[in-house]
Amino acid sequence: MMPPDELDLELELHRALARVEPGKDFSALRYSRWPARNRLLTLAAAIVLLVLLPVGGIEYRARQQRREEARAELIQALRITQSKLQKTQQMVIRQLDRRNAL
Amino acid sequence: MVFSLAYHFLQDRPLAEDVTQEVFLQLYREGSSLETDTHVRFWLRKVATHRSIDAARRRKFRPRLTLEEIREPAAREGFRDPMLSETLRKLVATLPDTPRMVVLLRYQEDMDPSEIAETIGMPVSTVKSHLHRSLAILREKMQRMKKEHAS
Repeated sequence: MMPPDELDLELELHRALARVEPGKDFSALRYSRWPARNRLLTLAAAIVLLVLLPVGGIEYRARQQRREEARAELIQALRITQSKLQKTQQMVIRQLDRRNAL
Repeated sequence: MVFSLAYHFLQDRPLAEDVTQEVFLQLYREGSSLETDTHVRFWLRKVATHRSIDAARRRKFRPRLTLEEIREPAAREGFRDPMLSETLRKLVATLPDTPRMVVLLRYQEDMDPSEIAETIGMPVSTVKSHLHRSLAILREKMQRMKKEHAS
C-alpha cells in the first residue's frame, strides 16, 4: 500500500468518491412505485369512505328518527294540554252560567 | 450528482434513491424560482446535502466499521487500485455526518471550501477545519491498518 501522504490521499479520495449513477432501472422503479403508492392511498381512502359513509348515514337516520319521535311526543303533549284546557274552560263557563242562573 | 452524494453519504442504495426522489420532487415543486443552470446545480447540491443528513439522522445509522472489518488494499499497481478506493470509501463512511458530507462535497463534487460553506451553511473556517481533521483521521487510520496488517 502507498504511504498515505496527503497528496496521494487526496488523489485517492477523488478516485474513490467518483460519482456513482443510480441503476438503470431507477427511473422505471420510481415511476412504478409512485402509482403503487397512489393506488394504495386511493384504496385506503376508499375503504375509509366506505366505512365512514354507511356509519354516518345510519347515525344520521337514527338522529332524524329520534327527532321525529320527540316532535310527535311534543305534539301529542300539546294536544292533551289543549284538550284539558278546553275541558277546564267549559267547566268554568258552566259554573259561571249556574251562578248567573241562581 | 444527487444520487451519488446521497449514496456515498448513506452507503445505502434504496435510501439514496429515496433521497434522490425527494430532492427531484422538491425541485419539481420549487423549480420555477430557479433561473439559471448554476442556480439549479447549487440548489440541488444544497438540498441533496441536507436531505441526506436528515435521512442519516432519521435512520440513526452511521457506519461504524472497525479496522478489522476493512480489508487492507493490495500494493498499488499501475494507475488505479479498486481495493484502495473501496477501503477509502469505507473509512469515509466512518466519519461523523458533517465532516463526511464536507469530504464528499470536496472530493466527489470538487467544490472548494467556500462553496461547501455556502452549501452546508457554515463558516469557511469550519469547513477547512473539518477537511483538515478528516484527512488526518483518514491518514491515521490508513497508517494504523498498514501497521496492523504488517504485524
